[in-house]
Amino acid sequence: MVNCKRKSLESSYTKAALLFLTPSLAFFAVFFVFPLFFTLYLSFHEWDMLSPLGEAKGIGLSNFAGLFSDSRFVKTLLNTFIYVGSNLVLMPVIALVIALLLKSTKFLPRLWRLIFFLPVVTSVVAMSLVWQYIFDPTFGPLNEFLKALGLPPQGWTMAPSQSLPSILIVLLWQGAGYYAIIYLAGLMGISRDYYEAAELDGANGWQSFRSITLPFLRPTTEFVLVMIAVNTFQVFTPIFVITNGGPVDSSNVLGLYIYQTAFEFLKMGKASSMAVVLFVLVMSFSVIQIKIMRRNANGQDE
Amino acid sequence: MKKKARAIILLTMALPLLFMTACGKGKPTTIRILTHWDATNSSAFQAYIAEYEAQNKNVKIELQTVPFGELMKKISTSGLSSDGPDIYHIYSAWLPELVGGKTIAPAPGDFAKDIQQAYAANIIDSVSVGGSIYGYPTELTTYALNYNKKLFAKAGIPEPPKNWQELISDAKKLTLKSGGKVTQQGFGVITGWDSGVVHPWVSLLQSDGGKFLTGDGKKVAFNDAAGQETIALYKTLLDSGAINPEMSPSNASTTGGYQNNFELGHTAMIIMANWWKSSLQSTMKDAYADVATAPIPIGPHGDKSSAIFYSWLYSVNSKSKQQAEAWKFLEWLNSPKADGESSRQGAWLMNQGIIPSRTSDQKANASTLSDPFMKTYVDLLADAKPFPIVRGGAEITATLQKQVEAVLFGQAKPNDALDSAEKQINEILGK
Repeated sequence: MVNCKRKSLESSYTKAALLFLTPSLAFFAVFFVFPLFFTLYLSFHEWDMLSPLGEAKGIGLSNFAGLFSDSRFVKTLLNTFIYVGSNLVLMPVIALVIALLLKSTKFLPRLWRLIFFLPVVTSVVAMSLVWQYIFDPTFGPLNEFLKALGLPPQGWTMAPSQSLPSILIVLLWQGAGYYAIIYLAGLMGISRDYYEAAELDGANGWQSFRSITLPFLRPTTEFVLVMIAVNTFQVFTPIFVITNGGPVDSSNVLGLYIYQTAFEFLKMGKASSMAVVLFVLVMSFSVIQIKIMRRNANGQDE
Repeated sequence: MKKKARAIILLTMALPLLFMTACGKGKPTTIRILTHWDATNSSAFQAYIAEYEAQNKNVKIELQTVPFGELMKKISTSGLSSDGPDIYHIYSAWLPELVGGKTIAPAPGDFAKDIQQAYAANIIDSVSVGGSIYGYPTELTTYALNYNKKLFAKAGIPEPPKNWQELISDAKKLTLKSGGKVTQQGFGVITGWDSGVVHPWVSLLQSDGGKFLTGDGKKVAFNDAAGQETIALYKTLLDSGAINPEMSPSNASTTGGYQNNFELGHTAMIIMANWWKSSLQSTMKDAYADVATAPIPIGPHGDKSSAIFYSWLYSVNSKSKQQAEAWKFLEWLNSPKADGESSRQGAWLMNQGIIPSRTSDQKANASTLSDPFMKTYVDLLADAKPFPIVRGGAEITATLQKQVEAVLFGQAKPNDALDSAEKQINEILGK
C-alpha cells in the first residue's frame, strides 16, 4: 500500500518535472537541435536558399571534399587557429594581471572594476566602428600618436601583415575585462591564511604567487581557457565591421567566410559543410583541452 | 433548454468571427518595399508614398531599408517566409538567382507592355530573363574618371588624362609624400567592396579593347593582352606610390575611406559611379566645385572609352498576396506625371544625380543630365557595356576582387593573379 502510494507520488513528480522542463526542452529543440541537424542535412546538399528546399540536390560528400582545395577556406581556418592560439596565450595573462591590480588597488576599487568591465557591456558594433576609426592609417588617432612620438605611422587594418594583430588587439581589449572579473572572483576565494603562513616561512611575493595563487586559480583558469577558445572560434562581429576579413582575407576567419558563402554567394550547402567542420573543431578542441587540464590536475593531486 | 444553450454557444463563437470580418473589410492593403536607400533618400521617397496613399485610400505603403551589403541577404531570407516584402528593389546582376529560385514574378501582360514601350531595348534586356520581363527598370549606373581640378591646377596639369600614358604621368605628378608616406595619391582605387574593385578595373579593361567574359558568358575573356596590361597599369601606379592602398577602404554601406580621401582632396583621380554625386555635394559643400568628370582613359590597345554599366529594377515578390496592387503602384511611380514631364521615380533619381532609365525621364531631365558632372556619364553610356548577368555573379565578382586586391596589397604577381582569377571564375561558370 505504502509502495503503491510512493510510486504514484514519484510518477506525479516526474510528470510535474517534465511539465516544468517542457519550455526549456522546446527552446533547446527549436534553437539548437533543429539547426544542428538541418545544418548537417544541408552539408550534403546543394541549395541556394531561394529555391524551395525540396529542390535541394543531394551531392553526398562533395561539399566536404571541395573544402580543402578552396584556398580561402584553408586561409580562414588557419587564421581562426592563429586567433584562438594567440588569445589562449595572451588573454589569461592580461586578465590575471588586471585582476591582481583590481584586487590590490585601494583607490576607488569599484570604479576600476566598472571601467575594465565596460567593453563587455558595450555594443560590439559601436565599439568596432570606433576601433575602425582609431586604426585608420590616414585619419586615425593611433598613427597621429605614433607620429607625435617620432615613430613611423603603420598600415594597421589596411596592411595584410598587420590586420590580424590589429583585430587581436580589439579582441583582447574587449575580453580582458570579463576574464579579469572571473579571475578576481577566484582571487577573492583564496584565504589570507595561506599567504600569512607563507610570509612567516619567509616566502617572497613571487613565491607566494607561484605556490599559492596559481594553484588555487587552477579551476578558474580551466574555465577561462575553455571559454576563450569557444568564444574565439566563433568571433565574427568585430572582424565583419572593422575589416570585413580584408585586406585579401588577411584578417578573415572561418565564421565570417561561412557567412559570406551562405548569404553573399548563396551556397548554403558549402557553408553548412564548413559550419560542420567548425563545430567538430570546437568540440574536439574543448574536449582535448578539458582532458589535458584534468590529467594535469590529477597528476598534481597525486 | 439544450437548444437554447447550443444557440448561445454558437453565437458566442460566431461573434468574434463577425467582428473580425467587419474589421477586415476596412483594413487597407499594405505594400512593403525592400530597398537599400539611405535615410535622406528614403525620406524624400516618403512624399510619393503620401501622394499615392492620398489617391488610394485603401492602400498603405511601407518602406523597409537595409544597407546595400545586406540587401541580397535580406531578400533571400525573407523569401523563405510567405510574409516577405511585396516589392524588391534589386540589382540586375542578381536576376539569374532570383528568377531561378522563383523569388520574383514576371511582369503581367499590361505591365510588361508598358515597360516594353517605355524603355530602350538594351535596358529591357537587362531586366529580362528567358524572354520574360521581371520588373520596372529604375536607374542606370556607369563609371567615369572623377578628378579634383584644384589639385590638377596645383600640379600644373591643364586637363584630365585621355590615355593610360597620360594617366600614369599625371598620377605621378599628383602624388605627394611626407616622411615616406603618401599623403596625396594621384590615382585612387577602392578595396573591400566587390563592385567597387571590379567595375572600375573592368571599365579600364574594356577601354583597352578587352572583355570580362566571352560573348556567351561561359568563360573568362580577361586573361589576355588587354587584361595583363590593365593589371600591369595598377602595378605601375602602385609601385610609383601613385596608388596608396591604405587610402582605399570601403565599408558595408559602400562608403568609407576611399570616398573620404577624395572628398578631402587626398585623392586626385578615381574611377567611380555617377550615384555618388549627391554624397559629394552634401559632404564637400563649396569644395564640390573642384570636382570634374572625364571619360575613362583609353588603353594602348583600345580605341574608345568603354565603361561598364548596370541597372536596378523594382520586382514583385512571387509569394506576395498583393501582386496586382504592387504592379499598379509601380506603374504609377514610373509613369510620367503629365505629358512631357518626368515620372516620380525619375525626378527622385535625378535629385541624387542618378541617371533614370526610362526614355521619357531622360528627355524630361535633359537639361539636368547635361550638367558637366552628369554629361560625361550620359555620353559614356553610348559605348558602355552591361556588366555580365550570369548565375554566380556575386561569387565571380568577389573572386576577381580578391585577385585584384592581392596585387594592390603586394600579395600576388599581376599575371599570377589573373591566372588564378581565370581558373576560379571558369570553375564557377562551369557549374
